[in-house]
Amino acid sequence: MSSVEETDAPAASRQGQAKATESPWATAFRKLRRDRAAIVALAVLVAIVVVCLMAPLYARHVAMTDPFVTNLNGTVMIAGEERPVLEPSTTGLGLGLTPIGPTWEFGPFMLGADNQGRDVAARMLYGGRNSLFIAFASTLLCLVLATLVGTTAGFFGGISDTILSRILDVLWAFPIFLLAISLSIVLLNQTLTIGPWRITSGSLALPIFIIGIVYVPYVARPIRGHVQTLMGAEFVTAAVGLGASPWRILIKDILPNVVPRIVVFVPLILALSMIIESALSFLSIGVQPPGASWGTIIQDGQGLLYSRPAVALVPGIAIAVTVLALNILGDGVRDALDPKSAMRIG
Amino acid sequence: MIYALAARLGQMALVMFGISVVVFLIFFATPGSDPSARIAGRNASQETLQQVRHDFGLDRPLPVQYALMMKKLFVTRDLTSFVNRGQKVIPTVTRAIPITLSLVIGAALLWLIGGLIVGLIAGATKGSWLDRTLMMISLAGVSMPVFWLGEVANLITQSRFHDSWAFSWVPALGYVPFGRDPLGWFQALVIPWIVLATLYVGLYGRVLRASLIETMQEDFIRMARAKGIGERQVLLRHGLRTSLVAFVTMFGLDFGALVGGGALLTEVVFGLQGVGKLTYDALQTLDLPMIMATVIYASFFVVMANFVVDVVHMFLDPRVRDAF
Amino acid sequence: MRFEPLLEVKDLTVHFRSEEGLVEAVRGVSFNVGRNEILGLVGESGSGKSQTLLAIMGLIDSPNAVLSGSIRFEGQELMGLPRRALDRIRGKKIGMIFQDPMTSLTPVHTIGAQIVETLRAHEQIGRKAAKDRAVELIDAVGIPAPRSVADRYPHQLSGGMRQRAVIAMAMSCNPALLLADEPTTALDVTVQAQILDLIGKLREDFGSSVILVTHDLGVVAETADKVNVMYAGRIVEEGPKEAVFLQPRHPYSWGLFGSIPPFDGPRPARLSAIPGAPPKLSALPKGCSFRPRCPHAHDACLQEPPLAGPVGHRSACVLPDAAIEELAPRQEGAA
Repeated sequence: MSSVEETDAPAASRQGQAKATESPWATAFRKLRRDRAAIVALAVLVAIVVVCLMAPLYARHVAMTDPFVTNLNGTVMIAGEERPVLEPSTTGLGLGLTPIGPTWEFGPFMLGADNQGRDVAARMLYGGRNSLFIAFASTLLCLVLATLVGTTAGFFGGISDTILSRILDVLWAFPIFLLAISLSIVLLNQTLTIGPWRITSGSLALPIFIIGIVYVPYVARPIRGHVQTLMGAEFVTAAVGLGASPWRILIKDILPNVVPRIVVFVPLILALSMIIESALSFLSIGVQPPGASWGTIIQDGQGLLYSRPAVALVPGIAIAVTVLALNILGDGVRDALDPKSAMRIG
Repeated sequence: MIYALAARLGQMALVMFGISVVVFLIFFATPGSDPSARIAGRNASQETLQQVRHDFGLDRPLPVQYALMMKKLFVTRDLTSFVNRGQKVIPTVTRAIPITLSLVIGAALLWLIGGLIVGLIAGATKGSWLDRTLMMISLAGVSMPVFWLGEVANLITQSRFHDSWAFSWVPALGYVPFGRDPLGWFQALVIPWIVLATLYVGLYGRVLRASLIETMQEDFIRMARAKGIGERQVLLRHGLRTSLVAFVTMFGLDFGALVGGGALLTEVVFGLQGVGKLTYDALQTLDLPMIMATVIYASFFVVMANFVVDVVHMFLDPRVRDAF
Repeated sequence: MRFEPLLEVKDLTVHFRSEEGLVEAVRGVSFNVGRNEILGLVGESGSGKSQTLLAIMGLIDSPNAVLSGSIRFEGQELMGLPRRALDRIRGKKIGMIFQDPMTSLTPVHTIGAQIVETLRAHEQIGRKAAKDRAVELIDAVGIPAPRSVADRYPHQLSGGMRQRAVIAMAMSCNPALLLADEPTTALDVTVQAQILDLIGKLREDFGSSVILVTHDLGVVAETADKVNVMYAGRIVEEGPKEAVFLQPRHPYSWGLFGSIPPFDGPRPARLSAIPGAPPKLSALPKGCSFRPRCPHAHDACLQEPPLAGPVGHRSACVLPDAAIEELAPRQEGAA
């Protein structure tokens, strides 16, 4: 008898239990690590961030210019030949000046100059810094606001839910660009004082604020719905039955279950923010001159589209690659955190 | 159901009111500067400022100011631009609407068909190389800024390859009214349509695929297979038909959002004088009355689109119909 | 005409490749179903009974599934049959009812339309005639006001009514065989009895055979002719209902029948429960898979026991007949 009981079955079930008690986060990380596309995307993102952070080094030691001052009369040595940064136009009627094209060499004007004679490659790095910073900051703002609003509406219900939901409805119905345009036209050329904060015109805080606001309903609504579902869940009913205080339930039972949902949104809102930031800057209501972002460089390149297409093409490619990487990472994070994507048998 | 519709209409009116209040507050009650200076535009004379103050009742309480603005927008419709002296704003907006609609409707047709095909093929061949390829392309489409894609399209069709047989038919940028020259209308719009649709084909393909895959795991799909109907019928009549609800809902919202200003970037890049371009030009000249008008009209269009979506949703999904 | 069972399943195995290794859901199952016969397939969840039904119906479509063995229906091999040929049999000659009526109807089509769809897939019948037949079928399964129900959507009906509608759909082409996968589990007790009565009545009216999969022994006792007890993907005992209920031969069956109170007579002081849990299908113990939970396990159990015993009532246990006689708990009045 005793020999029979020493079987592999208990061992197997122990192993099964070990897996069952693995925390959801550990499971998610394990899944994410195995998602090759997501890992590549993450690596690309890290590389982009690192490269953009090195903007001042690049400007000083490689481009050897200040990419924020106009350089209409500058010259540059290319292949032992001194050439003006802005050359007389050779296309069309031959009027005006055409900035120097890309040299495709690791040095000054690798990607050419814009119509003010500034080094496009250096501006790309500085612009990337701004684009990424705005995207991160506005995503943070958006998620914090959305969590606050969504959880409050879902948790307390009643009148606060009604009011917050209506506000979200209004914001939701507002066309994003028009809201951004309305806000920026009023705010752009003046100093705004809200309590202790002063936002001066041209500050990055403005696009961050605008972008952070417009996607709040997009995140807050699902969070509100999720909190409402959780409120009906048995473990919350049990906690209420045990006499737990509302705050305790909110912090111990609700929030830990909401956080994975929020995490799923991070890469997606980052991607959307990148796109919106570029659009706002393209419309000249985002980052203000002489500052740069990938969107403003595309706008700089618009007038040079047919003569020096690189100025507009390169930042667009940078945006597309960054956003694509964010989207791939977003898919990976969602798959890793969403129990629905767990493998099914049969 | 009649009651439900009425309730929905009431809600819609409430949201519209909310939007108008928000717009009003943004333009008239933002702290910091004098609204009359903003409305009158740059370098306005003292005389103009006085007139603006009087016209918009800026020396009276906020509710009165709000009522006056609404009156100018909807009742007398005589809101005038101060940048382009005397230009009546509302008729200008009305004239721009057909252009925006032409752009958005054409693109919408393209992306609906494209999204349906991509989503259906990818969903039905889940996990295959075809699925993975389609999803990668879709994701790339979703990741490109539309205005940049438009510039790339312009670079190709207007400049670099304009002389080749492939793009020699592409007319110069701008809009041609359908009534004057249907073929010209089509030629002028087909590139913008494709550019605008690219983003949405990817988006809709991905959403439909996800929804289809989820639906195809439902019990009723197994039941349908057990009935001995062919797989194509299972996929279309049971899988797709059930997944379509989300698809249509999304379509209504996006269509509304595009007509209500989302197509702005495409219009700017392709030089189409639609509502979006109007707003853009007004932004460049700081023509506030014009922006107010486009924003309010566009938002109302979005709200109306949402309402239509709800009604269509009711017809598509019997469960929603009864929930009302 | 040579005598031939309606359905002949031989050595059916269903395996799934998974992260944790091979999941052996069904392991060499063989049984027959005769004409006009009700076979009860009993076991805990995970015993492979549902997978057996899905395999017969050709509904296991996971890319990770590996199937082998033989399934002959009316003399025709179903295993490996191409989809087109399979579709001429399912819905027409074999109908199936699923566990949860709340999810087994497509939410966006009316009940009538879903029955009409089945009819028109298998018979040359006009739209109007098919609709009339659908209404007749809805009436036949005991749904009041059949004409108006035909135009209703699934969510507008109660669970019991939906299951009736599913049965009407499964029976629409007079199938020779009805597969019922836990048809009453999701329903209220009173509705359960009605649905079981209906299934019994269908056998009389339509002359169909039924395979009834359930973990509810009461359901089997009420309706089945023959019973197969399944454990961890195998049949551990098979025989006529009376024999299996009154003289169960397998220690697992003893535990199973011991865990329901007797229908009459004094209540035992304590209902016996089977100690332990069913094995993981990806890590089955060596030999008899019930061994780790069996109070009578010994070294001989390290060999997989074959199905053996008196004609018509066999079990997969190495205990000799005399020991079975001695150890088996008496079941009075069951069945």
